Amino acid sequence: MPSQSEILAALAAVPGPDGRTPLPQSGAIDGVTQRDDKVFIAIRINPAEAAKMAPMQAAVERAVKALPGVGAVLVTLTAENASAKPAPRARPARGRPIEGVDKIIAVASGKGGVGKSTTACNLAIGLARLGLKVGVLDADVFGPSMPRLFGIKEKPTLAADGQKLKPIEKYGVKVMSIGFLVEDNSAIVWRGPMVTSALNQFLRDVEWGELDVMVIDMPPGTGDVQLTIAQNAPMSGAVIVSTPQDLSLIDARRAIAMFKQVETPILGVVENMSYFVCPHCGTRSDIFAHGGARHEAEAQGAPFLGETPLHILIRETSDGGAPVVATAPDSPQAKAFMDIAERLRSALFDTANKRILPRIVMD
Amino acid sequence: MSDPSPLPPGEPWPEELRVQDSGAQFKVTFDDGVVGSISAERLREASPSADKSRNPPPPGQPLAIIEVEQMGNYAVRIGFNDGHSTGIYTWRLLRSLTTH
Ligand SMILES: Nc1ncnc2c1ncn2[C@@H]1O[C@H](COP(=O)(O)OP(=O)(O)OP(=O)(O)O)[C@@H](O)[C@H]1O
Ligand SMILES: [Mg+2]
Repeated sequence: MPSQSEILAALAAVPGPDGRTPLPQSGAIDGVTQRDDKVFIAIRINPAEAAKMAPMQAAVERAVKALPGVGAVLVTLTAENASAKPAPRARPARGRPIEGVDKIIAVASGKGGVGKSTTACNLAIGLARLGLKVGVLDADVFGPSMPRLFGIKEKPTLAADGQKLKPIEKYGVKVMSIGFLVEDNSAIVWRGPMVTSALNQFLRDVEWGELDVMVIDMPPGTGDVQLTIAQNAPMSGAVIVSTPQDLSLIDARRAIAMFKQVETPILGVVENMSYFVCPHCGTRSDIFAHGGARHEAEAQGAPFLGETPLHILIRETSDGGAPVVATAPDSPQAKAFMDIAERLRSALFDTANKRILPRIVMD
Repeated sequence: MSDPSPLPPGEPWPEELRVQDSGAQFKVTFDDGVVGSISAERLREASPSADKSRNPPPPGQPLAIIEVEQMGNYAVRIGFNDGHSTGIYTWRLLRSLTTH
């Protein structure tokens, strides 16, 4: 096995992220570790340039693999800015407003795979069908879903100003996702501070134009990354998605607590895959104790926004890039999403004209 | 399907929330004419917050409401002088505390 200095010497032949400075001098090497005959090398990069870094990654691999005694080389690109400090915890969400964007809502869950992205996508299209100007920001940098859900394959282009990226418009909604920019996102290891700066770029360096609502699809979980997003985007509120099972509900409670911690109001809770409708006979059955999310919402003092069935049509349309609300608007499945979109619209915009908020007086 | 929350039509809606007696009482006036006062103690007891721990108020002071903040269009968050401020009181909860 070569020593660390032998490995670094080999890397001196490889230009760093700027294309000139040799890697060891570039400051981008985050760590070199060895186990048996394997060498692991982490290199810090700007995630916006991830696609351009593939040749460097390959060159590092070749250079180290050529050393005697090296069996395998694993190069990970780390999306982290060395100088960025971790975001302070538990500070209220007070991001700067985004010009032209009226309301920003997060669609979140504690647990993964409960249908957040499916719900975010269909609600966004639903809100657009109600006459609102809507954008979707895919903040799930770990596993972006919007390219698949919207069936978008093209890459965003630069706006007329040559600075901002143009979101891609489909089904009446403007969409931006890291999945549009990076071929294989799994090659990037995201860390908190970098997620924040990527998110800020998506919020501010994308030509969103005038939007009534921006829907942010959150990564699953309630860790630091999620907390950071909740703090950094100037959110009007959060929609929590849960399935009826206990495990999902416990995680939904955590998500609610996280948003409360950063003083983001909970707009409501959605129960996805709430009940099962037989695709053949139309009979409805409650596979899991349906209604759990409504109970949890009530216990947490949050509105319940509605429920959507577990149905093959939702899965097939989601996975096929043809969301049910856009492509089968008259189906009962689409109606379930439209009902929720209607309540969401009302929760966001009807406050002032429909019902006057109570006066709060401190004697 | 499900009922039309978050704003079921016809459900009583508060017109005024008034903190009285140096924070000892919370007076709620609903749009259907129902008026009632809830004591700070009762309100604190009924806090729907997941955090159930209780600390005493500052020495020599009775439990008092010190903060009321609008949450969306469905609830208020109420802060007490014992440090508890995570309880979110929906109109529905305030209604049931006022009438029962
Ligand atoms: N109501 C539904 N009926 C049937 N299938 C559904 C429904 N909702 C979501 N699915 C399917 O479940 C899978 C997970 O959904 P989705 O990607 O929306 O979840 P997620 O919560 O965003 O996941 P992650 O935590 O990975 O971001 C997808 O294959 C989707 O098509
Ligand atoms: Mg998702």
